[in-house]
Amino acid sequence: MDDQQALVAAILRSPRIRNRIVVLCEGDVLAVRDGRPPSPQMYARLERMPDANFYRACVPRRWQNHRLPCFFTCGGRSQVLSVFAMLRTKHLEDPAASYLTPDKLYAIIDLDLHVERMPDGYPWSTTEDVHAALYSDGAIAAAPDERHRIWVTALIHKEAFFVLPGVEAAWAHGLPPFFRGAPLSLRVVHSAVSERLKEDVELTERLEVVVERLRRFSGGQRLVCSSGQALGSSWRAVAEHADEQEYAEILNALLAVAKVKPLWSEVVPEPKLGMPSPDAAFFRDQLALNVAAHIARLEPHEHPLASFFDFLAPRR
Amino acid sequence: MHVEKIEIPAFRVLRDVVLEFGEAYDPQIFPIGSENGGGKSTLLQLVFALLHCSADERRIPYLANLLSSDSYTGDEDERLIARLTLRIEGKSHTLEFIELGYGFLGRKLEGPPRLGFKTAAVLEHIQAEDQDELLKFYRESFQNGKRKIEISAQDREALQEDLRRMRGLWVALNYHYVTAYERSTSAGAETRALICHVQGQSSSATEARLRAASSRVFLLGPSSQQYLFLDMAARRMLTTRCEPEDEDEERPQFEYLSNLSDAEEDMAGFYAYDWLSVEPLIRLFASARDEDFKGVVKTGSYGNSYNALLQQVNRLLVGKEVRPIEDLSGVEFVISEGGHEVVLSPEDLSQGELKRLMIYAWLRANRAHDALVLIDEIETSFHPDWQAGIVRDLQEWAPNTQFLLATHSYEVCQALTPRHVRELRPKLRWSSTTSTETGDPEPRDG
Ligand SMILES: Nc1ncnc2c1ncn2[C@@H]1O[C@H](COP(=O)(O)OP(=O)(O)OP(=O)(O)O)[C@@H](O)[C@H]1O
Ligand SMILES: [Mg+2]
Repeated sequence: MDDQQALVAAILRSPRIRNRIVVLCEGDVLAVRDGRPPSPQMYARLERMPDANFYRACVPRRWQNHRLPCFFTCGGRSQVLSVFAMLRTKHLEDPAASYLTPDKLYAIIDLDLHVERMPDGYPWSTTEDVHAALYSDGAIAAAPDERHRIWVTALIHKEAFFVLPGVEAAWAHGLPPFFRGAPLSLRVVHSAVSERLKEDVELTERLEVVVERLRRFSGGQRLVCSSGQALGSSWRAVAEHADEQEYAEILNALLAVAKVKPLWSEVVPEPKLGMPSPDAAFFRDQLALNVAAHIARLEPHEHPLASFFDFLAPRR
Repeated sequence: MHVEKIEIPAFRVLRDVVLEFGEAYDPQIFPIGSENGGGKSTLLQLVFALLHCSADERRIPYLANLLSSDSYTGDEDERLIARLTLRIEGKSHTLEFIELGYGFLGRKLEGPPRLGFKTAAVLEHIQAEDQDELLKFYRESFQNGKRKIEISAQDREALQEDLRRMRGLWVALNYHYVTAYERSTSAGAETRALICHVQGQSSSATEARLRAASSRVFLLGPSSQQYLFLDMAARRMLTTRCEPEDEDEERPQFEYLSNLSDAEEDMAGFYAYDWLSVEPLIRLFASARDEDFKGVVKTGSYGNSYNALLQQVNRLLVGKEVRPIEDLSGVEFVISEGGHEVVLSPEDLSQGELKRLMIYAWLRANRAHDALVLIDEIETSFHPDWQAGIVRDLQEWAPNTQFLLATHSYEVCQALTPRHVRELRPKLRWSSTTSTETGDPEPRDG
């Protein structure tokens, strides 16, 4: 049995998912435990925080007293998609041996630049089609189609949510993050994201996808999409004179196609002397959880992830 | 007040414990995991008792009980029980709690004392500067067995001199005497003294530190577990079986609970969260009402505390609403079933509901703000969903407060990064060879 089959079997046999929403997401598959219940000690020894914990922490606070969804990390995007398909198939082969409620099975994956094919028979054929159907201008469509089970992020990947305006509230109580030697300023990060476009080989290779995608963003119309370089510099030129509304629009467009992950990994704790500082990757995990806690308090129209959970709410 | 570092070289099952809780962690919520018997409860109780009881006469016996429960066999004159680094208003303070053995003062003096003495007992009187008490003690310690020894004028003079020197030494050491206690050692039961010391601080400054710390530390745990700060007789009752012949006798466990309830009264920072009582909630409603009333007096209009509290409590409940009884003698809970109101009393709540509600109410009622809150077995009687939610709950209920949570729950941990989780690793007990022969158990002759 390969790892993926083992994961599928483990999910179906997990009593916790009974009559609950299951959300598959990206991230390292936690080592299948040798029959022992998971313990705090096991968690303490993980090298990285499992990505699913971010989405788990985004679940609206209002859900606290309802059944929470179960999250499972399945590896990369294509693995998430194949686990999604396999879960349904395996469940139908022997429903009695499974705790899954197929109607409550969902997934959320990064949009990314690479276009991924959806499983056979899915109403939309690619990640790009799903994105087009779900969102316009980075916000969820008024009444998303009931058949959406595999969601893609509104922006390029979940790290884009870490640098959206308003997110500073998430670290107002803790230590302020530092970026390139100064307290993190979101506008500086945005500008750095746009600067990096000229080095983004993948973006150059998939320029067609980028152009198509930017058509779905009002801010995209104001940008020059002939190359990464042109995109970046046109973005900065517009940003310089944009009012708040315009800025928000071109920012959404930028974060739909420009990678934030490499820059997010430059975010570090304040290099204060004489203070025990945790290593930076863990500090970023902590920030991500605080951003999630912030999202969990937002209204559906205020954040695409809040609207994702709002979509799930009647189905739990 | 937060704790930055806990160091416990050896206490009961704990060995070489070094736990750090740096300021950089946000939130300041730290699950502590271990195997069963790994020492989580021991750790929480020790830290709590040291900080909560050291500066309060009424609470000292609880601390002494806890220290008596240790059976360390080494024979150092000075032994570190715990080093606790606290962070108070941005500054670090390291408190060392040290156990002193019999011979400590005698060996520390330059040149032997003319008469012998027991360190622990002498300290009690040195601190109080009570010469008469000290003399009385000396006389007793010279009552060797049945033989009564008269103290000669010469001895008396020697005594005065010893005392003068000891006092000088004591002032120079800047140790703050906390309590004497008896515990079993390799040579039988012996008296030991606990002192607290802060580098570069006078004894009275240390005492002031302890006094300030005592109101900022809290311990919450289940009622049905061993609390080392209860005396041995009480602790035995928890595991004693009822003799079948005396059917009318109360179960010894009731007696244990009544002891625990006394402990709660003496130690304001201690709360057994599973009493089936909603007293903290009622207290909270009463103080919200008083606050609103104060508003009338001050500003002419009622405040909103009471209604805000009502809303908050209702948000914690699942499909129920809380309804305080008019004179605040109790609360009821209301559910609506098919359009009809059904009134429930507190005992109709589930154990988990009650626990969550009472932890909330207790933290609020005690204004556990900028405090250190230790919670044992946080997850018991919580469904995994609530275990997963409790970290956010605590964060909302008591922002700015640091929590150490003894737990076996993976769910609790998932709301935090893996680096927030602390582990008590099992250590080989009595690892180095223990030398116990060279103690100095009896008062020495001068
Ligand atoms: N005098 C003693 N010296 C050393 N160890 C002792 C002494 N008395 C009891 N112990 C041991 O200490 C352990 C108690 O640890 P404690 O109750 O703190 O563990 P815990 O981590 O809270 O466990 P659990 O998860 O089961 O609640 C037990 O294994 C007990 O046998
Ligand atoms: Mg315990």
